[in-house]
Order: sequence, then structure tokens, then C-alpha cells
Amino acid sequence: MNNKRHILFLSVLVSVTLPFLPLLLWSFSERWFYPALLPQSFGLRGWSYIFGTVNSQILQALISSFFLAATSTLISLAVGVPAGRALGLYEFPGKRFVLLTFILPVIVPPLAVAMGLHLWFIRLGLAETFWGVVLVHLTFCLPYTIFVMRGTFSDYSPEFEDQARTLGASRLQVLSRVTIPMIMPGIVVAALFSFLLSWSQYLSTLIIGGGRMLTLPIMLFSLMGSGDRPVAAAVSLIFVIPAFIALLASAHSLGRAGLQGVR
Amino acid sequence: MDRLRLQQLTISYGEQEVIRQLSLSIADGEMVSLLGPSGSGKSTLLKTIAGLLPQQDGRVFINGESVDHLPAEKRDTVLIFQKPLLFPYLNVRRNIAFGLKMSGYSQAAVRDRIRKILEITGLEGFEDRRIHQLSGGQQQRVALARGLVLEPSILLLDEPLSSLDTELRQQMRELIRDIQKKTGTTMLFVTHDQSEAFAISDRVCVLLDGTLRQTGTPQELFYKPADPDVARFFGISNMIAGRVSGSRFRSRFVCCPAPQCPDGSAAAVIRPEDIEIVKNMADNCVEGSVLSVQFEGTATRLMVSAGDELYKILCFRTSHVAGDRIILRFPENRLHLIR
Amino acid sequence: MKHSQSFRIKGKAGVPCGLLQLTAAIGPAFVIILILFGGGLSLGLMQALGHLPGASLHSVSLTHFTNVLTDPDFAGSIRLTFYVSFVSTVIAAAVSVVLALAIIRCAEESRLVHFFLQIPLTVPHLVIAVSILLLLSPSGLAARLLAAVGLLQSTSSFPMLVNDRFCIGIMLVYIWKEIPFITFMLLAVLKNLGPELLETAATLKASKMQRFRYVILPIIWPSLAGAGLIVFAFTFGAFEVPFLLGRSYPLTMPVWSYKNYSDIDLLARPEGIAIGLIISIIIIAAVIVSHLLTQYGRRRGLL
Repeated sequence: MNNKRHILFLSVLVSVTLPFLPLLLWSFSERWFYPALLPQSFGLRGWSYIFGTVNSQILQALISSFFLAATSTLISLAVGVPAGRALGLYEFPGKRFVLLTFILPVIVPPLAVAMGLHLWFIRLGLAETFWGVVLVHLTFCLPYTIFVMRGTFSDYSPEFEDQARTLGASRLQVLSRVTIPMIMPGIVVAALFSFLLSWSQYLSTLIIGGGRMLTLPIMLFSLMGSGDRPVAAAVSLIFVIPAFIALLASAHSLGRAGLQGVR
Repeated sequence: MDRLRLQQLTISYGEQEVIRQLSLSIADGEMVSLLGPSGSGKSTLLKTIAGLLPQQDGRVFINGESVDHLPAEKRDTVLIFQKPLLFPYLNVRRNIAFGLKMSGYSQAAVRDRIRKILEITGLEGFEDRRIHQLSGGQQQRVALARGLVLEPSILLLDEPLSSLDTELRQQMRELIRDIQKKTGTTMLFVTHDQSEAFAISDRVCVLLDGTLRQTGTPQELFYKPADPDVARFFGISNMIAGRVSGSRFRSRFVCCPAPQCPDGSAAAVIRPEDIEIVKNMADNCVEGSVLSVQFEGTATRLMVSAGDELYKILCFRTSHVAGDRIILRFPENRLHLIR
Repeated sequence: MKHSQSFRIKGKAGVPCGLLQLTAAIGPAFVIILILFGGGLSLGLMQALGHLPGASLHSVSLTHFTNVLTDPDFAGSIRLTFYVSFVSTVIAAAVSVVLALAIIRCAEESRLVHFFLQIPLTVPHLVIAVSILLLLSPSGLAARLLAAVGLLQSTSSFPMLVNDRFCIGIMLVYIWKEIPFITFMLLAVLKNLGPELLETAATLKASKMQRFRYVILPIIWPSLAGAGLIVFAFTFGAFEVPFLLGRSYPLTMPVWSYKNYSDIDLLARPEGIAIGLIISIIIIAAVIVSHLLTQYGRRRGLL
């Protein structure tokens, strides 16, 4: 039993961490010609290229990726939590239709939607702007948030709110002292979820943002094209940082439930 | 030949021994109950017999053959759990047919057997129902049919009625008893409910703290408990300490014959409903005062203090109140001696 | 309330909720999705049908769709896309079933296994595609390792694993990313299952294999099919990985679509959108078909 357990653990560990090995090696390599197994000389060129210059494009991309993902997440939460609550707690005619409307953007790839919106956004002056990209990211961040919150609320007893009111809590106090603490795990998952979705989005950002919205994935693609492997590897590693923060945060605040269900 | 024989069975969970040195035989066609409070190891024992849990020590024989090396699916036993545990994705018929299908019976044989079992369990007309369309009682009946259809050497039932409400439980008791008589299936029925065990079985085994304390007919257990623990389990807390000498038991105020009892210290027990309240002092009597009165409907429970001891008495239509002085009589033929 | 007769809102545990509150809660989200998603698709459709803003409706035609459907590259592209999605979904699903059962059996409580398994869920596809490139390209880490131990004489003798005919690299990225997703979906079901139903099956004479086939499989099937479908749909419509790790011909549908859309020749743009819509239609059709198949199987007791 214990043996099997170790084999299982090791195989999971190795297959999960293996892809990070070449990224780490390349990001710290200075010269690494084939067929050397390890870099001939290690160095920080890849990293200093990113952080060395104040106005580096990559740093700018990092910042705009962050604000893009944060904005999409906040709007998704503000709009999605009430919707998730209603869908989790109530049965009403037409609910199936509403659910279908919300699930389609989860299944259908954003490609056709972004292409369709592009021309319209150009005419509205939204193309190649921050808010235009936020809007197109909302088409998938928002439905995901709604589904996470719906799951949270279907395990939620609204009786707690009534109980709090009979104990003298005002509506606002009920919200801040009862409802939000109770659904916090769901909110954390939904927020991480939608942040990561927006953060790793490439094509729809490219279509709506044109060349103007430089995000990290867009930078990464052009770096791969230019063939500068140490810098590309370093950017890749920066690109996964939010993922790791999300993981640690979830392991800390969500306990065993973790992030399952996040894609 | 015995259908089931357990020989010196010991079962542990980690360090803790759940069942200790348990031996038991069940004859063909017998209906035996295993009675014990929750946590006494009843379910563990059934799982071991069924082959779902390994034993630490001792052996299990089914039809005279050792089955210790056989996994659950190879043993000629079926275990019915507390919950019906019907496969939710199959309808009633397919649930009942499950075991037959696993054993590779022909379609015709399956159809035949299912028809018969549906009739016995009164489930005709329910074949095509989905599980979620059944009530709790119906579900448990399907679970029973699903086990019976395999015609096991012994059917093990793990508190199958405890999730049902009182009235339904009553009906199911009769149904199980009825099926047992009709089919002659040997059954081992586990329960923590003494009236259920008494009503349903030929023989009852009392399991306390992992050991088998007493086996006998319901009357024997109820009126003649073997030791103080069994007595307490059946609600006898009136114990009178004394000594046996020359085949007579004596305490300060009680005296009764003790045939075939060796001399030495002993205790007499008496059921609370067997203590009489009398007007005048006589033999086997003691005076005491009523400490509390609890009206429970059919009966009234009195707590009486007499000669440094407390006695519980069940009486009917009494008008005593706390503080009354009364005389208790312990009829000779109601006293039962234990060591 | 006026609507109460015709429009019934039933709350869990009898919580009162008016139509107004319901609309206020769901309305904004519904409108946003309807306008952005529905609007995006409809505007895309109009462009794919050749309708240009300002022009009259007479310009509407199916020309762009027929151009795409009769394109000699269409069959190859759809075959390739289907192959990549289907094979990686099936492999990921099969591995996930084995992995989930192994975890339930010997590591259900292990937080470390759960933690490591969550890593791929959060890592962007793009990063793994880059890593696979650095790992498996002819001058990648794997080739260097083989050369170091003397198993590889020259770069050209290393098998093509990225930008290759069989899309090995693309599928590896998907399999690595999607196994944890499917596994966690299965674990959620298996943890709720508990041992009792399997014990029941065992006392009803089901062998180990039979317990897998007749108890575990039917129980996990809805989750397995659902998760598999999500993975299939995602991989069918994903752009980044095949763009980076695929060959330049044939192209997967999403890459082909974007190539047309971003063509210097603006006339190719509606065709790019048409391909995008065809991808969407195929995915929706796949969802509907699998839903119907599952229902049919259930009714027949096959699953």
C-alpha cells in the first residue's frame, strides 16, 4: 500500500514538474549550444532583459496584463455573484434557457465572437483599447464566475441570513457579516478562475487589441518568433507566477477543496 | 450441518480489537439476531463474514467449509446494508438481476428467478420503476429481493430497517419473517433494537463490547440474563447483592432457592415491573421511600430508596407521590440469580 | 404580486423572492452575455454572409461559406483538428480514470498529491507549449540527453515530436493540461461514492473487473463524458498550441480561421469568420449529440 502510494506520488510529481525544468535552465543560461546537456555558462541576461530597463516592453506588458485580468475579474464578480446566487437558490420558469445562455460562451471558443465583435468595436471606437479587450474577456470570465457562484449558492442555506436578522443584524450587516464570509471560498475560486482565464488569453486579445494592447502572451509569442530562448523562458516563468500564487492562496484559504474545476 | 460457523473470531481495526474470540453456529433455516448497542462491533462482524473485512484471528466456515481465503464475491453470502444502496442508474428489475448477471446466469433463468422473487417480496408491478421513484420502504424491499434472488447459503442483514419510520419498520419485520418462513433462507440479522430482535428471530445473540455474552430465545435473554451487563442492557438495574449457601440465596431482606448454585457471593436481579408494592410487611419485603415519580403513559416509573439501595419500579395506575413510605415485595419466583 | 399566478419563483427553503429582485440579480449578467456573446456571433454571421455595414441586404449570400466548404484544404484541416482533439481527449480521459481510481485507493487524503495535481490546472497552455518546444524539439533537452548518453548520433536522427505530422507535441500539451481537470471531476464523484456501493456489488458476486464495468463506470460516466466534452470542445477551438507546435500545412481549423482573418487581402476576412462559425457549430453539435447519446444509453440501461 505504502509502496504504491510512493510510486503514484512520484509519477505525479515528475510529470507535473518536468515541463518547468527546460524553462528554468533556459532562463538562467547565457550560452547553451547543442549538444551540451547543460548550459555552457549560466547568467541573468534573460531576466535582466525584462527588469533591467525601466521602460521595457515586457514590463509594460506585465502591467497591462495584470490590470486587464484584475478589471475583468472585478466586473465579473460584481455582475456574476448576484446572478450565481439567483441561479443557485431559486427555481423559475425559463431557468434552463438562462443557464443555456450562460453555458454557451463557456463551450464555444472566443474566436468567432471576437472576430464578430471586432468590426463593431472599430466603429464604436473600442477596438485597440483597454476597455474593448475587457469587454471581450467578459464573454468568458463572466459565465465561469456565474457557474462557480451558482455551485457555491446551491450548497448555501439562506436561513442563516434570516437567523442573523432575527438576532438584530441590518441588511448591510447581514451581507458583510454573514453572506460574504460564508461564500468566500466560492468568491476566491471564481476570482482566481476568471483572473487566470483573462491572464492567459491570447487570440481574442490580439483580435480586439490589434497591435496596441501588448499583453504578456502576445509578447511571449513574438519572443518565440524571434528565437531568443533565454528571454522567452524567463517570460514564460513570469507568466506562471499568478498561477502559483493562485495555487498557494487556494491551498491556504480553501483547504482540501482546492481549485478543482478551474481550467 | 451448520450453515455458518464462526470459530474464535477476532477482528481488529488497527490496534483496537473490535470483536474478541467470538464463536457462533447457525443451523440451516435458522433466523438468528445479533443484538447489541451501536459501537459493539455488529456491522464489523457481518462484513467479516461477508468477506469485506479480514479477521485478525479465528476462522469462518460456510456449509462446513473454510472461506477465509475467499473474497466477498466468491462467498455464498449476501450482505444487506442499512441503506438500500440500490444502483441509481439501473431500474428495479436490473437491480435485482445484478447478482445473477455477475454470475453469468442465462436470460431465461434470470427472468424466471426474478418473477418468483418479485412475487415473494410483493414487488410485482414495480419492475420498470426507476430507483428515485420508490419510497424508502420499497427501496429496502428491492434491496432484500436483490439479495434473496441469489439464494445465498446465509443472508446477512445489517440493521436494514433502522432507516425506516416506526410503522413501516413494523410491516417490514413481518415481511422479512414471512419471507424467511416461505423460503427457508438462513438469516443473520443485526440490530440494536431489542423488540425488533425479539419479534423477528428464533434465537438472539447479545454482543457487548466485542464479545458474545449470551445466546438464547428472546424469553431466556429477557428474564434470565447471564451477567450484570446483559441484565442492564435489557433494562434491569435492580440488583441485590447476597450469598448462596446450601442451595439458598440470602441477602439482608431477600431469600430464595438457588438450585445447582455453588456456594459463594452472588446477586439476584429482578425486572422493574416484577417488584410489587404491598400493604403489609412479609417475607422478601423491605420498606422504603419514594424519591421520584415519572408518569410515562402506560406505566409509571418510581424511584424508591430502601435499605441504602435504589430500586426502579414500573407500576400501572399508581397514585404514589414523592415522599410516600411504601413496602416493596420481591416475589421469590421473579428473582433471577447471576454471579 | 401581479405575476404570482403565471410566473412562479420557487426558493430553496421557501425564501421569498420577487420577480423584480430576480431580474435585478440576473438581468445585468444576462444582458452583457446576450449583447457581447450573442451580438458577437450574430455580427460575425452577418459578415460571414457577406453583409457589410452600410451596404444593402442584397449583398447577403452563402458564398463565403461555400468557398470554405469547397476549399481543397477544408477536409484536411477538419480531419487534423478532429484527430488532435479526439485523440488527446481520449488519452487524457483514460489516464484520468486510472489516476482517479489510484488516488481514491491509496492517496485519498494526500494533500501533496492533490496540490501537485492542481498545478497544471492553473498554468497557461502557452507556457507548456513553449516548454514542450524547449524539451522535444530536435535541439531540445530530450535530444541533448539522448546525445549525452550516446544514443543519438546526430540531430536529424531524433524523431520529430514538435511541428510534426502526428501532432505529438500539441497533444502532449493538451494531455498534460487536461488530465488533472478530468481527474478532479472524477474524484468529486468517486469521493461521494464511498465504499458501500462497491461492497454491495462484491457481496452480489461482482468480481473486481465487473465492479469497475458495472458500478464505477456507470457512476462516473456522466462526469467523464461531461469533462471529456469540455476538453474536446476546448481543444477543437484552441489557437495557441497548434499555432506554435503545429506544421504549416495542413492547419487546424482555428489557425486556418485566424490566418484568413488576418490576411492582408481583406476579402479573406469573411471567410476567416465563416471558419470560426463552422468551428462553433461543430462544437455545439458535438455537445447536443453527446447529450442525446448519453440519454439514449441511460434509457436503454447501457450505461
